[in-house]
Parts: sequence; structure tokens; C-alpha cells
Amino acid sequence: MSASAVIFYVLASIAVLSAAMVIWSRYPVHSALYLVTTFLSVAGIYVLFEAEFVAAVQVLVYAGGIMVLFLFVILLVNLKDTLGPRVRLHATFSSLIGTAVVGLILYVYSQGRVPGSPGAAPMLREGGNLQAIGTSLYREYLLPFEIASVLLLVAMIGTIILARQKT
Amino acid sequence: MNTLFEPNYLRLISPELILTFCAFLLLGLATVKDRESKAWTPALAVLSCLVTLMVLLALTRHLGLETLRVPDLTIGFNGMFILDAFSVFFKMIFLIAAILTILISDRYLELERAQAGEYYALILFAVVGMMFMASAGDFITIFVSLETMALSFYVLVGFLKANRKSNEAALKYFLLGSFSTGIFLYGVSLVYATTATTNLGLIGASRSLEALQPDRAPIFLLGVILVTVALGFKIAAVPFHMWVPDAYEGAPTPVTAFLSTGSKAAAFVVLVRVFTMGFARLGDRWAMLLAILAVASMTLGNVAAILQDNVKRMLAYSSIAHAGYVLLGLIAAGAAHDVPSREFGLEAVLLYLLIYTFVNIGAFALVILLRREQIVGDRVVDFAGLSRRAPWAAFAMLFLMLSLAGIPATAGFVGKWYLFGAAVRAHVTWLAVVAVLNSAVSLYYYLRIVVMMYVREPAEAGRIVPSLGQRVAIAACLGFTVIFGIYPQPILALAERSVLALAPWTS
Amino acid sequence: MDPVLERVIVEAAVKIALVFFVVLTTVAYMTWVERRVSAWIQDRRGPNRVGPFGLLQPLADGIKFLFKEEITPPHVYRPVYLLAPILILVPALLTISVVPFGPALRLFGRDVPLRVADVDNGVLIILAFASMGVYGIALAGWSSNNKYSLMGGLRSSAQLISYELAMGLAIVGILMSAGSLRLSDVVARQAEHGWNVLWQLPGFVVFLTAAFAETNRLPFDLPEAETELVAGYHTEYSGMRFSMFYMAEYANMVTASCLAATLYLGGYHVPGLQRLGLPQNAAAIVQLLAFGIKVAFFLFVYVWVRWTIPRFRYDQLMNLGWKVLLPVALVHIVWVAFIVLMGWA
Repeated sequence: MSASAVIFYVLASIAVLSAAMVIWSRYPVHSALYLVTTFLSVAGIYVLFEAEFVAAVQVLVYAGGIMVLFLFVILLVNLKDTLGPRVRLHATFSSLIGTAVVGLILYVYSQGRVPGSPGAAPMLREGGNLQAIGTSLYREYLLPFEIASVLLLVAMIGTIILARQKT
Repeated sequence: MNTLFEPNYLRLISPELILTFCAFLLLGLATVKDRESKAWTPALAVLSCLVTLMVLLALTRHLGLETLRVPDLTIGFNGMFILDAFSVFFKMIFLIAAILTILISDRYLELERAQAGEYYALILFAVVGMMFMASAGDFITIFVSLETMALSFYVLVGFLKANRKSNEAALKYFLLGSFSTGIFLYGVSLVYATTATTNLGLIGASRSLEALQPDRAPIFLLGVILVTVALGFKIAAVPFHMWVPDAYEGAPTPVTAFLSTGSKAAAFVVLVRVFTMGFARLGDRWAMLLAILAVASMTLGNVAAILQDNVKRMLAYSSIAHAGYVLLGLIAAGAAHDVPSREFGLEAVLLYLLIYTFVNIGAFALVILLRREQIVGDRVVDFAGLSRRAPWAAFAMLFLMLSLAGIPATAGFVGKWYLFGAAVRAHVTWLAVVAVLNSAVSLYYYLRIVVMMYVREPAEAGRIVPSLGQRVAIAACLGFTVIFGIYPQPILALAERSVLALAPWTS
Repeated sequence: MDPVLERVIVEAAVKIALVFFVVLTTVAYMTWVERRVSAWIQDRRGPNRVGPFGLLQPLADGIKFLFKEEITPPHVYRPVYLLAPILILVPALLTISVVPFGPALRLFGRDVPLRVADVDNGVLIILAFASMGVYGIALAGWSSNNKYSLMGGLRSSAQLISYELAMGLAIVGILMSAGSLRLSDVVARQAEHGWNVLWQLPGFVVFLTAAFAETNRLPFDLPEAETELVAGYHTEYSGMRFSMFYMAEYANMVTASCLAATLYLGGYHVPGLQRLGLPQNAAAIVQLLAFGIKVAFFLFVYVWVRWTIPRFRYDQLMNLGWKVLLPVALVHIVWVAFIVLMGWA
């Protein structure tokens, strides 16, 4: 196994394990921290694949932005008492179904094989992957990019409407 | 490969641009304190939609889409945007649905004391999202426009902040909607993993052949299934319908009307586009998948609707059932072996969605009519004696209910005739039989309201006087149902021509 | 192992060690500078007993911190409480790794660039690491199980998130003119076309203001405002763990100063140096010193501001961030974009 493969498996197992811990841990704060760990190890995998830009954005937006707000909410709202026994039972039931679905998906993966695309990496390296991302974002994906701006605006307006005191 | 941005592209999206601009304008207007000028907001919103509709039709005429050469489409933004007769048809549905919704909103919002300019802006933003969905030629475009629509709806559903039901509805809709988004993205990522593209045309033309090689097929198919599941959420098909009754009941009634027509049609346009363009080669497989959803939706929707005492909830289950009916057309398009039968199935889908838009918004308009100070008016018993209190409104409701049930001489009958006919033509007759049986069941709960209106004594006296907007909306819905129930040729021809745009993929 | 790879690793290790040493020393001496300058501003003497001019004071402080009793209060939430100081210090020290301190130095027959890592999105990495610093503060505040700490932690997180936006937008102007996210490209461009501060003054002001808020320094030190919150998020910390918070604050100051010098004052660029025709190594050392002077200037500004400007009220702080700095930064982007588009830059 090459060095990068070893690093990949280490990062990937950290990501998967901490993702599992997000669900299993009893304290919401722990869940949040495990989720940050997942995000960071995914960012590490991006670096491994020479997608530094995506990695930096992953850390900046998910780990540094969104999760901080999550944590904020968790710290302010004390969730400790809400996890009663009924919820536990419910959780056991849904985790059974979830496990079954995961098993099914894993089975499907074991039956098929996803081809790697060897052409992608050199194209990205040319002129740094920043430039490649910029080019595809503003040329091929110009329209979705612009629609996304409307999407974010709607999200902003929506939050303000819902959070505003009185009309 | 990377063509630069062309100024011509702006022309293609000009209707969407205009509508977005109008939405900005309404947002700005919402900050104005003056009540007098605020009263103009709904009128301006209707005007925006009308202008957009006009521009859209002018553009269609200018580009020659109505003469319909095959392949009749104009592709822009590197395949991200497709302006064809098919998308124009749906854009018309969305704009009409929005206009009707705005017309029935004004009085309702006043009664709920939730009058706000942002409401209309959000409706317009939702329409912008839907219009881009209709034209999306790539999974990425589908995703962002779908989310634009969905986010607008999450907020609209929870617009009555003082109302606990509205809050609950918004939360449930939001959570399940987010899940479906996640599932959609997961499915798309698997499709991308096996085809190396997100472009629907490319997937349909060549990449799906490679993806169907034995080593990749399981993963590709899993992707297709997940995409189906996610879109099943949006069209409210069983078993992905959990959010529907609560969201429909809790949301402000005009929003429910819009959600059940516009949002459903938008989800169907994506469904049709994805399945006929991207996954066309898998026709018989996804037809099986959708058949399960269709049978479950029709049966559960109709049976559960019988048990409801709340009209909004009843219409929610009825809307689930109708999603099942409409799926019949798509199944026919997938299962049929000859091109005319496939096109016939898609035609039926288009036709029914157009008819359903008018009929369902009309039904909700009547529910809104019963909303007065102190009275919510969404129980079945609230309809008691409506024929004495508002004879014309009761007459309209009678017709709309008959249309939903699919009684001859109404537009609903025409729609169902074509849907079930398509199923028969595609040799899935058993589905048509199930659908007919279900229609018979549905008659019970639709007629219950009719009986309420005409047989029962009114619980309270006093006439109900609709507002101008309500009158126009109800008249339009009633007129549509009656006229095209008797003489459906114009809308039939329209649907027929619009489906031709999908010809390169259906054949 | 491959000898080339080996050399690269050794070189990197040496550089990392050097940078750590320099940064930590600077951090230590900043505490001394702070006290001396504050004394000077307030017409006092400041620490002057330990060593000449009190220069050994930081060393004495360090020893004191090491031998102080570490108290873990019984009411804290231990795992997170112990983790928090580390979560603050690590990102603070990591950020410095992408800053270019000078051009290449010719050593042992090869060019050794004076920076730890030269990545093509250095600016993003700095912002990303900086954004990770919030966790330490928020968690320190929460795990201390003390209302003052919690308030401090929450204030700080809100402040960091708000000002990160303004800072990021101010930096966008720089990136647009340089056409790159690589810090050495930013420096190279300024060497060619003049320092950015000359024509991006609004961006510079926004950046500097946001940098003060990002480092929790006066006039934006509300998370630890002693008059209302005792000591904010580090109220319950003592000994070496307490000093880690301090080290992180000063390390962040050093990074922010390095960044300000690199982005707006031409980094290690010295105008007119090329005309002197110095040999490569001499020029490199001059430039390194120039960079040091620029950073020192900003560090001095930090101290200077702290002892001259009074603290903001919290709502004023938020208003300033969202209603003043953010719009200014946005307008600034448009202005820079206009200039870049017209080719005047």
C-alpha cells in the first residue's frame, strides 16, 4: 500500500467513526465536536487528492462557520433533559432500519465498481486547481452559480422573516 | 468545451430575470411604511407574473418554439438551461398558479394579520426556482433551483408565526425536505460516479450505456433509486408523504394551494426531464419502481382522505392520491415500447397537471372563503348550507369537487381519461384498473362536501361575500373546469405540441 | 529514503522549528512590550527590575506560570475544559506557516525560500485556521460552567464570526488585484505596482479594525471585559493553561500583523532595493529585516490602540461590524473591481 493510500484509510476511518459517534454520543456538545472532526478529516482527504481549495473552503465554511453556529445553539439550549427513554426506544428502532439500509448500500457497492477518472487530476494541476475551479464555476456552471445567489438571498430573507419580532 | 458566456444566453433566461427583478422590487416595497402604497403589493405581484408570462410567450414566438421543429429546443449555458416547448408549458402552469394564489391571498392574510410584502416576494422567488427547474438540463441546475423553490416554501409554510400549527408544519416540512435534499444529492453523486457527468443529455445519450456495464450498473441503479426517492418526497408520493397532511393543514391556505399545485408540478417537471432525458434507457425498470409508488399513493391517499374531518387535510390526502394518478402517465412513458404511446403518456401528465392546478387552487379558494374573523373554516362541517349562504361559490365548489373526482363533463374527467388511457395503451392495464377503483372510492369524500353544502342546514346565517381577487380566481378556475371539460381540444393540442420537444429522448 | 525528499523534509523541519522559536519569543516579548509601552503612555516605568530594562521579565513570568498551582475547579466539564486551551493555541500557531517572511536565501548551494509553506491558496488557509480558533473560546466558556465564562465565550464567537466576514471581504480586494490567493504573488505584485495601502485604503482600515476584533483586543475585548465579565472565557483557568490563552492572543496578534504587512505594506518588499545591487543573501536579509520592522510597527499599533481607545459596548460592536464595516468592504470590492477592470491598477 502506498503512503497516500495509508493516509486515506486513516482519514476515512476517522471520518466514518466520528460520524458514527455523532449519532451515538449522549451529549449534544460531543456530537457537534465529532462532526467537526468528520469535517476536518474530509478536508484532509481533499488535500490528499490535491483539491486544496475545496479543503480550505470545507474548513472555512463547514468547520469554521456552520458548525460554530450549531455549537452556539447547542450551548444556549440545554438539551440534556430532552433525551428521555421514549426517544431511546425510537432511536433503537430507527437505527435498526438505518443499519439495514446501510447494509443494503454496502452490498450494492460490493457488487459494483466505480471507475476512477485518471484524466481529472492533471487537468486540475495545470495552473493550480484554484484556476480550474474558477474557470468551471464562471463558465460551465455560471447559471447554477447565479441561481445559488438567489437561493442564498431567499434563505436570508426567510430567516429574517421567521426571526423578526413582530411584523 | 468551455464556451464563454454569450449575451444571447441572457435572452433565454429573460423571463426568469424579469421575475427575479420584480421580486426584488416587492422586497423593497415591503420596507415602505405607508399603508396606502402597501395595498398595491398584491396587484404588483400579479402584474409581475403577467408581464413575465407575456415576455415568455413573446420569447417563445420569437424563437419559433411554437412551430415546433424537432428537436425543438434552445440550449444555453453549456447545457445547464434548456428552453423548449416542454419547459414553456410548465412555466405557464407555474405563473398561472402563482397568479391564482396571489389573488386568493390578499383577504386571507388580512384576516390572519400577516399582511406583508415579503410574502409576495417569496412566492415570486418560488416561481423563479420552479421556472429554472422546468428548464434545467443538468443535475446541478436542478439542485439549486429546487432548493430555491423549497426554501421559499419552508418560509411560506411557517409564515403565520403566531400560529402553532403553522410553525409545526414548517418545521416538519423543512426537516423532511432537507432529508430529501440529502438523498437527492447522494443519488446524484452516485450517478456522477458512474457516468462522470451531471448533464442529463449526456447521461441519456451515451454515458448511461457505459454506466449500465455489469460492473457499474448496481451503483448507477442505486443512484437512480435515490433520485426517485428524493423526487417522490417532492411530489408527495407514498411512502414519502409523511410531511404532507401536517404541512398542508398548518400552512396558510393560499400557500397550501400553491404547494399542492406549483410545487407538485415543478417536481413532476424534474421527474419527467430526469427520467425521459437522463434515464431513458432504463424505462421499464423505473416504470416498475414508479408503479409501486403510484399504487401506494392512490390507495393510501384515497382511503385516508375518507377519514378526515378537516378539509385541508382531506385535500392533502387527495393531493397524495392525485400524485399517484399523474405517475400513471410517466409510468406509461417508461413502460411503452412504441414512441407514440410514450408521448401519449407524457401528454397525459402535462394535461393533468395543468387541469389539477386550476381545480385544486379553486378548491382551496373556497376553503379560504370560509375563513372569517374567529372562524377557521377548514372543517368539513363548515361547508354546511353553503348553497344558501353563497350560491355561486357552492356551485363552483360542486363543480370543482366533481372535477377532482373525475366525473364526465368536467376537466378532471378529461385529465383522468388520458392518464388511464395512457396506462392501457402502454399495456399496464392493471394500473388503470387500480386507478379507476380508487377514483370510485374518492367519490365518497368529494361528494360528502357537496352533500354538506346542499343538504345540510347552515350553522349560521349571513351571506358570504368574496373579495374581488377571490371572485376572479374562483371564476377563472370554474370557467376552466367547465369550458375545457366540454371542449378540451385547445389544451390537448398544447400538451401534444409541448411533449414533442422531448422527442429526441422519447424515441 | 529518496535523498531529495529527505533534504526537503529536513529543510521544512528546520524552518518550522525556527519559525516557532521566533514566534514564541515574539509572543513572550510582546507581554514585556505591552507593559513597557502602557507604562510609557501612562507616564509610569513598567517592569524594569529583572535584567537590563526588565528584558528578562518574560522568562521570569514563564517560570512563574510553570510553577503555579493548576486548579481544575470541581464544577467544570473536564474533557472539554482541558481540550479548550489547546484548541485555541494550535490554530493560532499554525496560521503563521503560510506567511512569506522574505525572498529566497542562498544556502548550501540552493535557494531556500523564507517561508514554511508556499501554497496556492494561502489566504484561504489563514482564514480557515483563524475560523477554527472560535471553538476553543466557545468551548472554554461553556465547559467552565460559569455564567461569566459562558457569556464571554458566546460574545467572542459572535464577534469572530461577524468580523470574519468583513475581514474576508476586505481581503477580496487584494486578491482581485493580485489575481492569486498565494501570498508571495501578492507581495510580488506590490513590488511591481506599488503597495496596496496606497489605493486600497478603505480595505486596509476595514482589515485592521476586523483584525483587532478577531484577536479580541481592546477596543473589542468584550469577551473578557473585566468590568462586567470578571475575565470572560478564561475566568476559571489558571497556571499554564491560563497562559496558553495569553499566548494564543499574542500569537494571533503576530499573525495578524504579518498578514497586514504582507497584504497592504508590500510584505518583505523594500522600495529601491534593487538599484543598490546587493548580493542575493544580503538583499534577502535586508528584506527580512524590513518585514520585521513592518510587523513590529503593527504590533506597536496594537499596544498603542489598547491603551488609548476605550472599550466599545457590545451592541455598538455588532453595529460597527454589520452596519459599517461590511457595507464599506462591499463598496470597496466594487471600487477595486472597477479599477482592475479598467486596467488602472
